[in-house]
Amino acid sequence: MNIIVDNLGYILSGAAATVRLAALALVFALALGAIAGLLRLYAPPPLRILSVAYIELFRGTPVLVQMFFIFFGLPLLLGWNVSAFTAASLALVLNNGAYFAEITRGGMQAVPREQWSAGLALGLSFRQVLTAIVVPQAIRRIIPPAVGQFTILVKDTSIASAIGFFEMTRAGQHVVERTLAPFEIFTLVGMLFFLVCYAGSSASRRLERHLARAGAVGEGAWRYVFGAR
Amino acid sequence: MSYTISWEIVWSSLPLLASGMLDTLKLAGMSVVIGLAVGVAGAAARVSRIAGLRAVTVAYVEAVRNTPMLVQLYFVFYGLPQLGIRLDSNATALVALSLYCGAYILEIVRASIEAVGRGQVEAARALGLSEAAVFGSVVLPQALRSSLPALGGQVIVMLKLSSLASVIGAVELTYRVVDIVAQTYRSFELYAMAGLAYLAMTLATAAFFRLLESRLRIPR
Repeated sequence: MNIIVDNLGYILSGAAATVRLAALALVFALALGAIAGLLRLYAPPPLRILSVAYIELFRGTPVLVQMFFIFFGLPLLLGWNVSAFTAASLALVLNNGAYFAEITRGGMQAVPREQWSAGLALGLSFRQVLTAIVVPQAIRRIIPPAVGQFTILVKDTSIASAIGFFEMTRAGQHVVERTLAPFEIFTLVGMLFFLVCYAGSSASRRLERHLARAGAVGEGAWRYVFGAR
Repeated sequence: MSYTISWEIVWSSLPLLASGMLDTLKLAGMSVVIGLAVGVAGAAARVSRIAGLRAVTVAYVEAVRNTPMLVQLYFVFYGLPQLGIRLDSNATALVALSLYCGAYILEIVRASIEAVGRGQVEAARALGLSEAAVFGSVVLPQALRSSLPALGGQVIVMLKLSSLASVIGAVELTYRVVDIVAQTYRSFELYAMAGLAYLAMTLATAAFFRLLESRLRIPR
């Protein structure tokens, strides 16, 4: 027990770095994912192919290999000096961006085609239909899986320890080297991850149930037309 | 600083890379097979009438799914020896990946079991089948068939996750590549090659499961 109390501060300093990395990666990955997802759906062929290639490449390869490539491979060729933090965030942004892109695409495609036809028939432009009719309905379908993906992102921050970035898992390794108590320390690290991820995954499940009860798109559309009751 | 790309090293290490791919396929494949057994047994326990059994499966699923694979690997590799359970790198990787895979498959199969129509169970019981037969030959085959797309996704997840086993020194593709990089410093070419190798394996797996789904589709 003493081992945990004595080293909690150090582990928590690692946890702070984990939170910083996850938060930064989340913001940029969401933005990248929205752009890539919309490009895959609506862009002219060259851009669409580019976004499909990006999505498939980053979903089809391990985060660890992506991180190694960005940290060890690219700098060699480009002559950059990349810090572990930059490489880890870049890999997490690109990787999760690809997943958020597919989540965005799924959410957009779940909005019935009639919504498009009706909007265009009323004389709205493509952009107006997209931003005022389709996106507000799609958001409701995007949020639950996006929250689920965020918990995966939080778990994947631990992989940054493999390129030497100091976060919670790395902090745990340091403490283990000093105390020789891996059982206690990795249990503690696991429990701290659990706190965040369990909150995220149960929120995702609740949102999904809520969505199923609300009658999904149908009611969403009515709310949009007549305003929230 | 100038760095000239040379694919020669990739060419000459192709046999090692191929054996690494084989090791990755073996590790991921075996963890999926064990995970499937754990997941199906766990799903049966999860929908059973015994509350204690249900609680254990929930705890297992939540603990595994809400902590990082890497921390689980460290826990099994460095932590468990404190309790007298000593496994080498390869065994640790197999155990940790199987348990991880099992938790996800448990949830996939459970969801499919719950989606099997109530009428199926009632009809089977009315025909006088035992509870074991109702589950084993009526509910489970239908549930597994409708789980197929999600199971295919899980196999792909396991192929990619198995790369983390290299961190504790288990032999698979990433381990081989890291090893060759350490000797040759050709990190750009070799990690690019590793990415392509994983991409080939995941795309092939996806294609295989699409084929399997179309073959096993329930005719309507």
